[in-house]
Amino acid sequence: MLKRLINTLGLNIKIWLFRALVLLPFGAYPTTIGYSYVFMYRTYSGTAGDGYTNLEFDKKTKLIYAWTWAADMYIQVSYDGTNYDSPIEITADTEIPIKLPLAGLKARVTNKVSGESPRYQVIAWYSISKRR
Amino acid sequence: MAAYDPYYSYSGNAPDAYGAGITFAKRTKGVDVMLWGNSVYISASYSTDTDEWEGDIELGVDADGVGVHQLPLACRMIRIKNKTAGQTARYLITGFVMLTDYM
Repeated sequence: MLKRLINTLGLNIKIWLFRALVLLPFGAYPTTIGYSYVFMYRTYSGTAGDGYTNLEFDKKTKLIYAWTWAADMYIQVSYDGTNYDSPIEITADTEIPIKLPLAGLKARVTNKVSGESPRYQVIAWYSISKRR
Repeated sequence: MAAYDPYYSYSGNAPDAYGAGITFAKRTKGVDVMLWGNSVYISASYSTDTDEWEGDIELGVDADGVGVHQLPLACRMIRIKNKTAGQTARYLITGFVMLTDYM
């Protein structure tokens, strides 16, 4: 009963120690404002074509925001630098967030329809604990 | 705005070139950018050193001319400019900080 009350009131010291020692160094914050994680970023932008355009991330990333304009596009992420996950289709003039299960090292983009030239912007977010 | 407020909002019309930028009282835990009218570029700095700006992020508006962008961005400064000179965007930038930063 007392233990349940302590947990309900958020007074469990173990939880706060976990947050301070485990979550905070990796950029996670116990916040109620809607942002569980906070990041720094790197921007990659250009125009995709018929072949793949490779994006090599400066930092390992766990979250990507991808935009495309003018035409549909595919994006694929690599976690080992060699093999790529299945392509994710992004509809023209939309933005999608992609949460990665592992740290992404690379991505590549290509047009969905041959001959079209979607303009893209990829924001790779990385943890503040991996700053320069 | 009181120093203990958990967020800081700044609004206005975006200039055609980057200005001095907005300095948040504390490092943010998230930044919301609302846009009306036109697209913009923003960039952030992780310190108050104005010589170190991260790359531009293009933020657009929908067919109704409204853009709502929530960025999980940890920064001390942010700056904004119109994507296309002469096509002015009205903006509202809100930087969220943590109350515990003041404790």
